[in-house]
Amino acid sequence: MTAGGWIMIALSWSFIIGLSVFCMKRVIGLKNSQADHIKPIYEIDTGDLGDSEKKKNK
Amino acid sequence: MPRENWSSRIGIILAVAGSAVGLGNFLRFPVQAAQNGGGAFMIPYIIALLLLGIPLCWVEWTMGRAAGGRGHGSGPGILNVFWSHRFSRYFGSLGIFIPLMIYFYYVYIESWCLAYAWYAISGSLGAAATAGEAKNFLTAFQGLADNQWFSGISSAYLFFLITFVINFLVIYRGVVKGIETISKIAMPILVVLGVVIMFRVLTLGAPDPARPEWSLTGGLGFMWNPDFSALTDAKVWLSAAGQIFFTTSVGLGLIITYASYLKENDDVALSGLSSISINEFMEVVIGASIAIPAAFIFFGPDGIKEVAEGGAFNLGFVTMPMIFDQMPMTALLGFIWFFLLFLAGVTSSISMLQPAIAFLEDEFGFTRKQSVSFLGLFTFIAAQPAIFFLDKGVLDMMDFWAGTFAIVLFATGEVIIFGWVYGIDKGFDQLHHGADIKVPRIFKFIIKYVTPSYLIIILSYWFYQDGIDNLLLRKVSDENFPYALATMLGMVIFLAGIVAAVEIAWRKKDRKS
Repeated sequence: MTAGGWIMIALSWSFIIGLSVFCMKRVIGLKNSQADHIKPIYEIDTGDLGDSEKKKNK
Repeated sequence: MPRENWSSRIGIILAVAGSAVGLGNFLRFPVQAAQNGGGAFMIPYIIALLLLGIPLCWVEWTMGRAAGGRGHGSGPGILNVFWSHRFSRYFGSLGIFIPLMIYFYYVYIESWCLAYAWYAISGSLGAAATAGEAKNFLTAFQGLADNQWFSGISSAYLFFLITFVINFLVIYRGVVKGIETISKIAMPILVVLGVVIMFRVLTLGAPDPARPEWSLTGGLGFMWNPDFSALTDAKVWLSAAGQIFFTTSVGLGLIITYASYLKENDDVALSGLSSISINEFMEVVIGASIAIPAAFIFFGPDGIKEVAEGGAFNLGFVTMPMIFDQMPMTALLGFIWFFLLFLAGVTSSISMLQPAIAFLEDEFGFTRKQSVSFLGLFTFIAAQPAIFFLDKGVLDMMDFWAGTFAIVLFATGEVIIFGWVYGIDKGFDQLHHGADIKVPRIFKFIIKYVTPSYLIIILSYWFYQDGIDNLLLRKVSDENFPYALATMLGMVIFLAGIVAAVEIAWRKKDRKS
């Protein structure tokens, strides 16, 4: 294996393993109630059935 | 009837990862990398992951969760929530069509893994020691030839039946008791089996003292030594993008369905990224370290080229049994390899059934028993052509239109509806609702401009390269022409049937409202 091969394997594995460790650490470390949630307004006005009914009721 | 919700965050992450981790991680990826520039392939691969895989994954998780809260768990209903137009519902039918079309042949290939696991542990597979014998074993098992191992298709059919029943037993138990439970059991086993086989391959060294160059480092070199000149070839970039599609399960209609069973405040940003990272670990770290390096060690630099050119199935079902045959504990290693592939297949195939189940339950009010019975009967009948006309080009036709072209088409539609019709600002807010990580703002630009452009280029290239020939059946032999034509007509009728069912469902809803 050439030096280029070792570099490619090192970079690829570092990226993938790093991403996996970051995600698993966050998933395992955070309980839903402890999460620092970012909560914008939950609003989808698409005019589908649910929305139409809500508007009628209003 | 109330919709189910995942009982835990790890449950849905493993379910989505299980859907993504399939035969392609262990067989398709190493062959693609070896054929397309070795280590240099990782450059377009990682770029496609960042520009296609991860953005599309976030789009699908976000759309699924939002629509699930409104009682929709399949393509037509989900797209209609984000674009309330008749066309979005019709287009969303692809989210049911694609996974079922793939299921019709995938379940049969999945059953080969179970059969080979059995033949490995029982010792039958060990008798096929040469390439010719291993090929004869496979063709006879498929019912395409008669020889000392098999006569007729009965053995393959028995394993197909067992696999089919296992799939539907899981689906019948529902999202939490079925899919989530099996994912929580199968995924850790999958990782352990993968690590065991990988460890065995990485400790092989150079087993033949007469040929010290046939070694592990040589095998890793064949897989990873970069050929940067390959990066000037557009095909390499498209192969990398194609691999990202196959491996991450985006564009199949599966992730949006699974995400529809999330609760309104559940995170999608971190969970989506986590499922992708598990899949990539199984592909780039484990998948890349097994088949190709092992094949190099036992077949050398010339033999490995033939193996790579033979394609993914050849690697899995012909080359790997021969490799295990030359290692100690042949039966056990062979069993572990094929059972690993079988588990990867099961977690993927059950996810292909769920969009149709969700459609029947959410839009027609079917009970789970009714929807599973209906779908079981339908898929059983529809799976027969891939079994009995395997050598007639039926599977190739289904794989190109449903398993390749339609996936990219559906993903393109999804990302355009999310980024342009619904609006990227609102979409990005949706993605961050309940999020446990902050998605970098650059992804707003990527989702709106880069991902759709990338997809349109891929779609155009594939259609130009293969689509016209496939549409006009130019590459089909005279002998296979009737089968190919029947398959194509069958697919058109099936898709039209789903669109009609969507229309009926919404007319019923309109009458009720």
